[in-house]
Amino acid sequence: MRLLKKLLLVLTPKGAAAFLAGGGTFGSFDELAAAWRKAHKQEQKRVAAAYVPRDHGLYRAKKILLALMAVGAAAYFMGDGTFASFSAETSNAGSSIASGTLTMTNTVNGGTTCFSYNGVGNVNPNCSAVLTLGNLAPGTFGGTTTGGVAVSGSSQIVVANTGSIDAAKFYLYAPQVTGTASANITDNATASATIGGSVAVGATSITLASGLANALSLGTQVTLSGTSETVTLTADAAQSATTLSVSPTQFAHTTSNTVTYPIPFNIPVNALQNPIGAGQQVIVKQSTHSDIFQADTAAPIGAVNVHVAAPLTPPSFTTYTGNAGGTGASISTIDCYDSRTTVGGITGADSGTNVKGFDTTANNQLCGTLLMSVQEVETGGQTYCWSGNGSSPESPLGMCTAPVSTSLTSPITSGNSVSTLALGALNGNIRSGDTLTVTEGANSQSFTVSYDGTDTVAAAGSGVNATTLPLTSQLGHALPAGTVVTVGSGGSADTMTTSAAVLATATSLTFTSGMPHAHVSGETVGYSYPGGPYDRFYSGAGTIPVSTVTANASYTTSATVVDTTELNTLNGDQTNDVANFDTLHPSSGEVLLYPPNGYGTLNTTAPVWLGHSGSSNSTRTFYVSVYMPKPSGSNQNFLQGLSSAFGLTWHIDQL
Amino acid sequence: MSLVRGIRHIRQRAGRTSPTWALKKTLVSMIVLGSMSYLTVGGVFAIFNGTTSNLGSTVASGTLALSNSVNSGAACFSYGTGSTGNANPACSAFFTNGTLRYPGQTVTTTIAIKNTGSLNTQDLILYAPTCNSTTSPSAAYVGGTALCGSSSGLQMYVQETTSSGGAALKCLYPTGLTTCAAAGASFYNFVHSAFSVSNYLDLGAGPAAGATRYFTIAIILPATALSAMQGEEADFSLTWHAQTTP
Repeated sequence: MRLLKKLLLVLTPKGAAAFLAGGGTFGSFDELAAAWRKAHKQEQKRVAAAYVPRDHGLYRAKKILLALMAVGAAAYFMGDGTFASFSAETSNAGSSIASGTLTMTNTVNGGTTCFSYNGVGNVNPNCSAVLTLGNLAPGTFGGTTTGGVAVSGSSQIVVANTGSIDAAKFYLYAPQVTGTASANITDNATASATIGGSVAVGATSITLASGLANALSLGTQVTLSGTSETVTLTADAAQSATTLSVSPTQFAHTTSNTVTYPIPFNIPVNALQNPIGAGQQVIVKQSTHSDIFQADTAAPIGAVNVHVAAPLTPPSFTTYTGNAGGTGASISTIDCYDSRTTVGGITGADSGTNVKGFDTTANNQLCGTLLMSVQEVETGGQTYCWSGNGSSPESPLGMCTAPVSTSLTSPITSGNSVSTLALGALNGNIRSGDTLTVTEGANSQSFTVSYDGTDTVAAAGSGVNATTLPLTSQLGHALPAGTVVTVGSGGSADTMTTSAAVLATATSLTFTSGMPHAHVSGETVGYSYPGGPYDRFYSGAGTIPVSTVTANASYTTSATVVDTTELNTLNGDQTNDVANFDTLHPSSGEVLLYPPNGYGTLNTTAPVWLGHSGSSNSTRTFYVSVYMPKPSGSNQNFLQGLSSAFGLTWHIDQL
Repeated sequence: MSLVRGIRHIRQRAGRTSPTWALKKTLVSMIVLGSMSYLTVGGVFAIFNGTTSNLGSTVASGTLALSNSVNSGAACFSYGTGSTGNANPACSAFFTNGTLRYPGQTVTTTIAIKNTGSLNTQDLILYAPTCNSTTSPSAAYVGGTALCGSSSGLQMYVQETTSSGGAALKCLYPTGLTTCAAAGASFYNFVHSAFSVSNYLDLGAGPAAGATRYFTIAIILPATALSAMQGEEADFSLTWHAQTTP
């Protein structure tokens, strides 16, 4: 210790000074210490005038700094520890710090699982389409594939957190593309063709001396030289066409005049973060100017050009600027967009190409007609209608108005009394009071869904103090936690309270406490529930009680069953369409998917919205339904032969 | 050196004895907090997140279109030349004036209605939107009985067949028989009860997508027709209307 003190003494500034002042040659540490004390006294005298008093603010700081310097220096020189003394040492080697993961999956209808990390930067835009639904007719739920196979109008999407970190936020939004122009946009590109024959006043057809460089669509404005005027095409003109059908001319034109028409061009963009589909509308905006173009070919992620078709009308602004820094004109898309079908809904049938004389892709009217709902249903009885009819205001029990089209699983015999319908899997919601229409061939019959509110104890029965009661059949009605249930009758009747919410398909009830009495097979179970007569959410096959009627015909398991009440409700809905979802919920207006904690209720203070992998709340299940309504009044022929394309994006955040 | 002196001077004036000591400490703290906030806000973006998108969902509507072929002639499409909104009023006439020449004569024509769309016809209806009585241009004598009027003795029937001119399938006007009676039923009753999309002769479901239904239309000048029907003409049209809902 003494040796150490001496060494420290030398290593102080004054010690070092004394060591150097003595020529660096001392016979012992005692000799050096003496030199240090001498130097110290001289130094005290020298700095007396500049003495920093103890009450000065820097005094303590100086002391601390000096001490730290000494310790640091000692540590530096003593690092090797080569002393002829005992020593001991322990090391904690191999410490490592690893980051967690926040990844997610997305599975449509139990198909291939799509991982977020299979995309760039944990963003995967290539998960399966939610719906591929063709040949829709107004008022009919569901459609067909291009091969004519029947397809449901709804799909299930299971979203899971597969990472090791909880997601504190979980969002849903319409995946609109946003970007910027990378260079100035030349959007007024045109080509000219010489008129091939005289054009009289009032002419509706113009002959060209040479073919068009590109196809032009009905509605395109072209300019005629001579006495300049603009006319509008009244029919599509194919590439190389030499005749244009136009609105009546106001002036005569000669063969020396020309027709100037727009041509397709590229919009230069900074690398796209999301793809743009062929036919999708592209909005270019800068300051107060904006124009809408239509992509004529698909632009994938990373594309630096978006090729757009010749515009129908001259752009409002021809000096959109851009640069690689991303401060130029903005480029965005509307998520849902319409295009004409080029193949009929069934083989050989007319497609949108055939009926383009009366349908229209203008303003994406099919997107603005198709009704969409997003329903969440969890196995614990947590439900919520996130979007669509029933979401604003949120309907009781969190039930979207979602159509059902299914089939019978047990036949009905003509003349028999019918009090239940055995149905296949429900691709929508059914509530008490709804009308279910069973149709087969020319026969049809309506049944009204009833509410029985009773069941019976299953054969297994239950013992004294049992907290679970088995039932002979599915409840048929969703029940929230806290439902009061009466089991049995007379002196052995028990009045119990359910401890957890259950779905309509449940075949047992769990209570908050044990039943005071034992119950045997066949005893009556009665219940009531708050919130109204609501029934089944998307679920598997099961029976559903209906008001007893006599069957007017025999129906096989091929008969279709449609919930006409839900359809009729939607037929009057002009709000909850896909375009409206896009407008309300771009990425900047995402749906906040709080975890539901009951029927139509949310836990808005939950710290975790999608738990880490393996946790009890790591997955959530949604059903997306699309229906083409049949409003009363005029026909909807303008919607024939169209195809609406749209997407959904699911996003989780750590914070 | 002057800088060092300046700093020292400031430090001496800003010492614990300075009246602004507490204030300066507070300000320094705020500067530190502000700096930390700046750094912290920047760090908010350095969190983990994940995104999956289900792009490219497509929902496509089908089509319902008709073609109309008179006497196996050219098909006239509902969306063809002259049409408006999938309604084509310019298809061929069934009959031309002067076809009926004398009492007891029946004239018939066949028509094939094909659904060229992809959606099934849930209901096909037939009606006569117009019926105008006039006189025959070449008539030497005009009897004065309007053929579209209630005194008209004209008869008609609408027979559905298995093919163009094929076997009888169902008599649609008058109803109730498989094969229409040769005498038919009142032409006047038809044009005055089936004249719009709301007042029509219901032909039932079909044709399904891609299928064709065949009809024979007959107009009959009864053998009992009076001279009052001479030199008269009825100009009328028939509309075939299909829809995807019953």
